[in-house]
Amino acid sequence: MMEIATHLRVVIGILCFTLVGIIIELIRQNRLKEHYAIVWLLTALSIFIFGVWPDSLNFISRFVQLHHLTTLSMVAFLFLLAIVLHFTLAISQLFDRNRRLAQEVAYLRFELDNLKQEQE
Amino acid sequence: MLTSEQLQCSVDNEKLTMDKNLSKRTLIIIPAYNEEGSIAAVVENICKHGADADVLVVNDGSQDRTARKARESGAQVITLPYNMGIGSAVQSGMLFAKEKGYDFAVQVDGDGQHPANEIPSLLAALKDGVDVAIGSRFVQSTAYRPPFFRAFGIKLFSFLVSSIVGKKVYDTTSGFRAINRKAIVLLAETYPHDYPEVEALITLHRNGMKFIEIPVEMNYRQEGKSSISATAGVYYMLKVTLAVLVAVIKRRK
Repeated sequence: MMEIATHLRVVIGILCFTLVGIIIELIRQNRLKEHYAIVWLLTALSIFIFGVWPDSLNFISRFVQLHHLTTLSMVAFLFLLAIVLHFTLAISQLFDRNRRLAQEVAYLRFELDNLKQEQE
Repeated sequence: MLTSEQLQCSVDNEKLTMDKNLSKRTLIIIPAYNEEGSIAAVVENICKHGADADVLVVNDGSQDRTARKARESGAQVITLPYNMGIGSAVQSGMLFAKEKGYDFAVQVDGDGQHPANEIPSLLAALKDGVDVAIGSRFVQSTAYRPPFFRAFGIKLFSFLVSSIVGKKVYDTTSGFRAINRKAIVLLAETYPHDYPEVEALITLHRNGMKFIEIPVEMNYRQEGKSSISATAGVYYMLKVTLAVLVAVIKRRK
């Protein structure tokens, strides 16, 4: 059995609920795309489960021979790493699209100016 | 006011743009960022030497009067909505050439270091089934002697590209290039972002393009400074080396 204090579980639980609350509010205000919210919600959910029911993390703790809290931090860290990678992918894709868009805009503006001149 | 020579250039351009069936059409692409001081002279020089080519200045979000100066000297101008870097600017030119159905494109810097009178010899090289002709400083001994650090970079890139391409390439960083329709279509689709010259060679090679180097004598800057400062030089070398290695493992387009 893991030796984790009840008050610590409560703190972790509250933290997770706050995180979920913030994320839902951000989606509601149209500031966060649902697509990215999913991975955040998964992070909150996993920290919640592993934090409040430490037994669920026991097998990993035993496997990596770390204390429960350290294992929890590790799991959270891995999730954050996944989120950052996800963001970098998204930024790369946005960069390419933004570049093509700007080039197309420049080209269309050239064509538009020409058309206008022809009409005059 | 336009001088008669400038007018001559614009008239030629118009005639060419209108007559779509004219044998082979060539577009000279000049990327320019804040080049109001030199752009007019560059365009006029090209009009004088480039004979029957259309001239396109890609104004890379300049804050000065680059676009106006270029238009006044007889070039067509497209303006990018913000400064996007040389790679994106050149690619915009390729996109333009692709959409307008040009058969050849020549890339010339906006600062006047590339000799306009060599454009015909670059284009002539393309007629023999070569896809890309590079105006090169180092094929024969030219007057250019680069500083030590730059010379090292030039050797390193030459070695890297040569071993990937399987043929000696001397001047991999030259931005003075002529390409045919096949390469235009490819580069309009995929072109590196910053410090693009070396990486673009790998992209071209990986897609089966053949290139040739034509010795040219470049005009070295009397004023202004290179876009690559000393500290940026290290980043430049690392970035390009990495980009080249990545380009080798990238999937073909």
